[in-house]
Amino acid sequence: MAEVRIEHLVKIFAAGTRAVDDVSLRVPDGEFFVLLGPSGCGKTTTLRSVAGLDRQSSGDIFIGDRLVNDLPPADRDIAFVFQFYALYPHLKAYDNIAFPLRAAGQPKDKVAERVLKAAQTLRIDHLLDRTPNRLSGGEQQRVALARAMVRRPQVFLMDEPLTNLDSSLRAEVRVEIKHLQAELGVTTLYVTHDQTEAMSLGHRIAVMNHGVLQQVGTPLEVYDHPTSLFVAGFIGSPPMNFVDVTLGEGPALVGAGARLRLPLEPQLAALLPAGQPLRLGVRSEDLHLTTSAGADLQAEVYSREPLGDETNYGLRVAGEQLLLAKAPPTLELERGQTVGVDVDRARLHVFDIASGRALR
Amino acid sequence: MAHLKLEHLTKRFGTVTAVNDLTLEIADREFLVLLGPSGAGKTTTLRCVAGLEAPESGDVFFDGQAMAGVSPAERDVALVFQTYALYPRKTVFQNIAFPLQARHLGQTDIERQVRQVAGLLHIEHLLQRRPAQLSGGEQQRVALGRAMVRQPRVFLMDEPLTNLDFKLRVEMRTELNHLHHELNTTWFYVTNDQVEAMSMADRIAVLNKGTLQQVGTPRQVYDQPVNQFVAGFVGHPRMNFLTGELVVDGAAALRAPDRSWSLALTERWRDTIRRGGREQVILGVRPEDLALETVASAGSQAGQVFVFELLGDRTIVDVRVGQAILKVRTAPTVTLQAGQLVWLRPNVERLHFFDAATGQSLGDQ
Repeated sequence: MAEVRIEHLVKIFAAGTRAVDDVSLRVPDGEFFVLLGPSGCGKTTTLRSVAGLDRQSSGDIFIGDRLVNDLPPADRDIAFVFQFYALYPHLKAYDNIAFPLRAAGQPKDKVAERVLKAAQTLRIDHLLDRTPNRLSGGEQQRVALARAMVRRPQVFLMDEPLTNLDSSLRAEVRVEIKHLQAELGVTTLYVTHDQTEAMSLGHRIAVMNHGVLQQVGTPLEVYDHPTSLFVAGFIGSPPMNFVDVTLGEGPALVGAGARLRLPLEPQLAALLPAGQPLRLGVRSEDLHLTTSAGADLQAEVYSREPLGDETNYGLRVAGEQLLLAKAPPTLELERGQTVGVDVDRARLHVFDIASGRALR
Repeated sequence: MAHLKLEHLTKRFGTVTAVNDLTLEIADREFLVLLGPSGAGKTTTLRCVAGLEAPESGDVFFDGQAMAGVSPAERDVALVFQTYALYPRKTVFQNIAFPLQARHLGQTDIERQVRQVAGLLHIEHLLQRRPAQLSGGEQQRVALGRAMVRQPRVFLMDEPLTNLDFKLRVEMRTELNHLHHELNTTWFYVTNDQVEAMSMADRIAVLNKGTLQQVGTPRQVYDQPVNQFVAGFVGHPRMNFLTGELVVDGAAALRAPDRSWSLALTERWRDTIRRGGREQVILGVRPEDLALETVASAGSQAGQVFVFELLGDRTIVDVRVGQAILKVRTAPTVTLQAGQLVWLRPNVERLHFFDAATGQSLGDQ
């Protein structure tokens, strides 16, 4: 087990694209670290550079105290898990898992012991004599994980391992991976474009966009305190609501041609530049629906989406502006009905549109 | 506008029965979602309604009129698929106007109708662009616009949001929800995504292996699933299921075969479970109906935190109780450690019981 350090990593592809643009990261020993971003953001290229599958254009990669720039993948003491399981189709699950141990010349009883331990941890010990075609997608992915695990590498590298599973299996295997990592304490770098997966799995998350690191933090740090518009919009489901505003008299945030007006505490307003285009961000659970006439905003119910454990309301505020608000499943509003909306000031975000930076 | 009726519809492909004796009514102007896993027979059903497949037996009725032998064009339905099938060389305007031109409407009429539809879909500013210059979500709106200008009797939609990314899907859900109310047309919508079904439908019909499982409002399907399949398919995270044995030793209780938990039962539940000589039942409880507590109290079950997932607006905790792992939904502010001892208290008003052999619900009490 080891710390992974990436210093000023740059990867330029032949066509001149800067896939990774000066990324520096330190992943402490035993951490579950997630690289999150949309497709093409450079997350997979970063991971492949750590694995040694791609050679970086410049910058250094350390695993433990070793500079591994010039080491082939096999000598880096890592285990890679892909979204495709890459199992040997003619081998039973047992032999698939045992493969790396046998290749390393481990004695038979040692192999058996480790395979069984890994299979028990992943709860596939009853499937060991089946070939891959007799296993479900989730079971195959567990076999692939077990095979990675028996090698006891310094670092796990995982590239969207859950992508090909259906949603209920994804939730199930996600939990297994999380538990497995905690149990083994192996430093893990995990790449995904799925923010739920990142939030659920990561001790810390690094959000990337266009090859550039946007923010690194714990799941709740990136969720509660996004430092940029990009991170704010990328993390959270449903996505954060945004309204273009300026700071006006009162003080208040004013938008939608002055039809939307949200009074602010002077201390909060003091943080914001007057006259500059700003974007207000508020998560759907921080909008509270109320029948009170003194509410912050009056809205018209545009759509109603019951999900069972909660209900999302689409709300039209000041004409065109649409906001999504979460409500308890017991609240039943009709389409077209007028409803008051209170905005939780303590959890409100304001961004500078020009730079995309969070002002609070 | 139309009232739609499927009567004893059966469709086979070789030896495989894709749709098995399906009877379903869709009210005029209703938004009905046919929900099920892949291979359930949803798309085949939709294609029978469209007239693209002929059923082996049974028929489809539009406003009481039998559709057997009526061609797809004569049925006056509009189909929207997950692939947009736009004409790449035509502008957005021309794509939407296409069905109207085929009807030889005057230019001003066409212009007016296209603009009206574009306005509803928020794509007025895109009318002069070609499909390649549009995002996936915009293309899907154009496909919807082309279906809408025809003012069909019925909209048939086959997973139209599947190819959109997560954010666009959320946005289009809200739009479709709203559009349905604006357009006053009957919608028959097929999906394997229970969130889409719950969030948009007036009623949901759940299909599995060609057989109709349950028809009801989103609330009914979520709160009163008729069997274990529906209970497990609708809701996320999935409902927790536990096998329990009836123990009558003084007061009645349901107990895990390994004795890792036990749950006191009301007399009515005890009698319902006993009826038919049952000894085992499946207990179902949704993640939001389990309260997580850090001290023991009467009626709570001890367990150990297996993992927990901080999702920002909520935290999902997996708790190990004996051999089982239960998912629990808690507030985002709860702080936990893996391995920590916790107690779960079920909301006894919202428990579900299923027959262990058939999976059928034992009813509400």
